[in-house]
Amino acid sequence: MALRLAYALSGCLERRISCRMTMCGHTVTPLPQWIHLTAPVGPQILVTRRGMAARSSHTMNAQKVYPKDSLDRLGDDLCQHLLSFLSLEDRFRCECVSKQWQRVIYKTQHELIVTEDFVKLRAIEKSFSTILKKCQNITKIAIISPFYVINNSNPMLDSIARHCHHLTDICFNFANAIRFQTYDRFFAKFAKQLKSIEWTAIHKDDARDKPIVNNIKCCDNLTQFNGYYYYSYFHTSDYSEKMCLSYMKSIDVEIDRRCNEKCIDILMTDYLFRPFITRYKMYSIETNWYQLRETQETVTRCQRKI
Amino acid sequence: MNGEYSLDTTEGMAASGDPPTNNAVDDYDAEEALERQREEENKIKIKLKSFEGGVYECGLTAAKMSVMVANMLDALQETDLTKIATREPIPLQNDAVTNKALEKIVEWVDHHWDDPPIDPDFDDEKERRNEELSHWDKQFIDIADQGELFDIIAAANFMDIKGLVEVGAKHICNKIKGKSCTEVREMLKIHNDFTPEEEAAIHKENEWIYAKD
Repeated sequence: MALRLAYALSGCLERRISCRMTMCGHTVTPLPQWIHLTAPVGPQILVTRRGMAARSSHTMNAQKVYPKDSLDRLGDDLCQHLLSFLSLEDRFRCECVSKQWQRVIYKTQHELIVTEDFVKLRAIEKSFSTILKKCQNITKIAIISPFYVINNSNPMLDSIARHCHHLTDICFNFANAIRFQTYDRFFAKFAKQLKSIEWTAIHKDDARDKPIVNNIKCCDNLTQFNGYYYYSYFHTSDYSEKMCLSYMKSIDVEIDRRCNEKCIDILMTDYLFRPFITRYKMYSIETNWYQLRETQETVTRCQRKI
Repeated sequence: MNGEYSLDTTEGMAASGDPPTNNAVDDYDAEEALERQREEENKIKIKLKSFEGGVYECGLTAAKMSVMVANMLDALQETDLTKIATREPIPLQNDAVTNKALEKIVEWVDHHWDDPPIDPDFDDEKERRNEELSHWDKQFIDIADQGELFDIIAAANFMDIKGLVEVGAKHICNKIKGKSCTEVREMLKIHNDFTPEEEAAIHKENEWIYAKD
């Protein structure tokens, strides 16, 4: 029995080399079929492989023996997993450690968060496209830097549209002076795959914000939407009909005094007709106490009605 | 303070023994039963044999943290678990599984056997990834001999013990943090296979990262 197991196991070792695939940085081992393997994979294979662990296909033939205390002995898959805990900065600093590292180091970067420090220190506008080009598997981008640090956000959105392929979450808190064409290009690519959008404009310019509202209506798979300064759209007649994003799970809306009773009414009814919504947050940032109270009263009136 | 308080309330609820719904009772009982079963099973000792031939004993539940060992035990289709204990040791045929490495791995799984199983839920996953290593893990993985450290990581990967590979990964990433290319290469004894020109080109591309220094 022990002997059969040993054979089965060395078979297992072989299979693991060939069948391993990596998804999202986690090593996925296929169901072990090795237990049925009968062909004895002799111990000589293990002998030739002494001192080196499994490497991926293109280095498999190399008969090189790596020293035991060198990280080089570990294969691409394992190396990729080990390096998946590095920060974005460390990844860029370590890219030139070796060719193996260059191959695997960016594969597990799934997030890009652009903060104010990041922008100030690193001339983000220049390096942004480099980052996106190298990190092909980014699914979430959050640009939370205030608008005055990024002078022109059009090129940033454009490079996201050009270089990202797996984007599902976007948060842009700088959405100022973005051209219609830029929005259209962005949403033409991502409308079907976006799951979460957080969007803040600094100005309250209806004409300029209209394009993004129209574009959001095309995002069929959206489950989360945090929008600010949306009062003026949420009571337009087309909102409740066209923006029927059936999978929506969470919506944040900011309201202010310009938002009248009818508008809140629509928001509330809308909530009732969307079975998936588990979180619906409405809030106000009015600084004027009187106006705040007025808004509150409107909301309370509507709540009572429902 | 907050944590202590909430702990008190849950204990109180468990003691009073009347959770609000029947479902909760079932879930609670099922969990409890599973927990007890795991505990019982861990009293059964199985033997693991390293590549160098050393045999080490390990609790059954603990050993099953290795997906490879768990699959193998399943494949035996043994219904009487106590018989597993009398079987011949399970051979681990990978040269990374040295005596020292296996000894350490057994120490790790024996300490972690009652960890909650890893939740495939992505949110939890992310949280877990960002978690700092526990004090025990830090002391466990802080190994002076780098060859031994890599043996443990490679062996844990071979045996498919996700938690332990992660401990190793976090440990190595902590060491890399903030270091330059050359320092990292020296530390991990990595051979530089770039030509000076290639390296300069990468440096130029990644210029922004050095802007601060």
